[in-house]
Amino acid sequence: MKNLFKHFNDIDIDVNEFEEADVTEFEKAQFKRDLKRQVSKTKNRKWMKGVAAVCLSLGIGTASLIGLSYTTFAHDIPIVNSIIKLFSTKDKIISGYEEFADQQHLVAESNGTTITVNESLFDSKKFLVGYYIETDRDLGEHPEIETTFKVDGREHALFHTEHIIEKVGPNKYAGLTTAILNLSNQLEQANFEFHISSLSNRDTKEMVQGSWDFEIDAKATENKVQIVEAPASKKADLGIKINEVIYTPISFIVNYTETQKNEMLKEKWDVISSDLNVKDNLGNTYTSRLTGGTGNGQGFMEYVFTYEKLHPDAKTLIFTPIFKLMEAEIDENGVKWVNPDSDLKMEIIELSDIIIKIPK
Amino acid sequence: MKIDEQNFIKYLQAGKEHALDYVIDHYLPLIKGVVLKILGPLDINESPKECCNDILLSIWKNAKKFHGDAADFKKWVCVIAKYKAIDYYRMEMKKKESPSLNIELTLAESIMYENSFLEEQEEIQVIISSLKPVDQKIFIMRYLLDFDTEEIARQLEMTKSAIDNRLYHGRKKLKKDLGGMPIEKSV
Repeated sequence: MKNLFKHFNDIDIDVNEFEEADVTEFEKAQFKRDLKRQVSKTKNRKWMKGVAAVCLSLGIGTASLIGLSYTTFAHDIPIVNSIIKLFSTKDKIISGYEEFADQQHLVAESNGTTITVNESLFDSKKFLVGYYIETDRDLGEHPEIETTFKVDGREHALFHTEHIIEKVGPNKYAGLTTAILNLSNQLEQANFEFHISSLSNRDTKEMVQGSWDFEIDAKATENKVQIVEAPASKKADLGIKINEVIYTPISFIVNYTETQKNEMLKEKWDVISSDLNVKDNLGNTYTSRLTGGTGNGQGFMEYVFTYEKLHPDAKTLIFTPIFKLMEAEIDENGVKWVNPDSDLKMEIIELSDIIIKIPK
Repeated sequence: MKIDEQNFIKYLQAGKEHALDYVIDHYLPLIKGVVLKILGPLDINESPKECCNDILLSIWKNAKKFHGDAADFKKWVCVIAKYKAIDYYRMEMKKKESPSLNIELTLAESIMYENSFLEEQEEIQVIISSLKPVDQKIFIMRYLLDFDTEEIARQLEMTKSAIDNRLYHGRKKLKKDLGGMPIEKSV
């Protein structure tokens, strides 16, 4: 239960009922060490736990972006002012986003490091912010960043954040952070408080701590929301129901519900994950990226995926739901990992198409 | 960043590991006290340590759900410790007992026994969350924290028979619902 620990706030317990036990310094140190190990694990994988299997099976991940060489970037810098454009050379899905981005010029300086936010974009579910970093420290090729967001003054309004930071010159970096709202959140406009608290060198672990604060009022791109009436596509007690499609000038965003009621398959396979193969009536295919997911652990999951920009002449969208049945590696924390390169068994079940007329 | 009594909650909620160190330094004796009081009689070696670790991890993971000051925090920690320790206690008992010994049970015990069939504590929580808020609170206090009905009645300013009554109706509802129901749980 999500609220159990909240409920605990209201419970009046007599603290004096318990006597403090003796704890040696050695014991404390041991607990600190053990927890640090567990905590850093949970931190890194926090969002992955539920969706790792899905993400990895789709071959998505920031890893594919890490191979960018900075020489091409450095070359581009004087010409290209758009960070989104810069990163779109390697990440197809954000290509074209720069046209709809709002120019910003927000500068914050802290601890010898200047960060300039020069671009932002909001599509009602995702907020992208592009920035340059100039620092007196060497932060390596791909620095790590620690950030927090408030959305309309509220913390914890996000599902997940993603960062790509690349070296673009000596002590100069370009960064693109994507903040994804919780599944239930879809906003026409929002106020984002973007706070950066540290930058660090992945290799040497050298860290620049500071406080870089930006506040951006973002208005979502013009969107059209289509509630989908088409019935669920079903096969072998597996089902996909498309609930909603949001059309934005840069993408389309699909919300669907997945049901898995086939106990036999669940027993047989470690991971069963769904996906949609999407094409339009002109034959164009679209790639996607996970934007969020939530579920009840009892066979229902709701997912949101963002697809590339829709072809302007497309009339219908054809969704082919598939279920991937996979064997997984299970690590010591019980987290299931699907390694796309390993030769573990996999089967695909294809469901019948769901065809949706694109509203004009 | 200097962590002290004034700011450790803030830093803990912000996910700063130093704040967890602070919690270990200042609250571990109490946590261990709670755990030993409940698990002590079982005379098992490793469990209390595992349980303490589990409690600290829960505090870390759920820090954002806490609200209040340092005094409230102490209580909150105590409640979590008691909840986890009872959970461990039941697990240990389950290992020891053979089901055939459980034939004659009082009503209250039988629901606890039913619970143990559910294997996952989490599942019970999901089911409890389908109850009305006040009943949720009563069930958490009674079955997850092992408070007696008098204590619950005192805290909620209700009569003991009202509590018993609500527990009875709640149990009936739960029995009916045990087939499983959709309750949202974040990924």
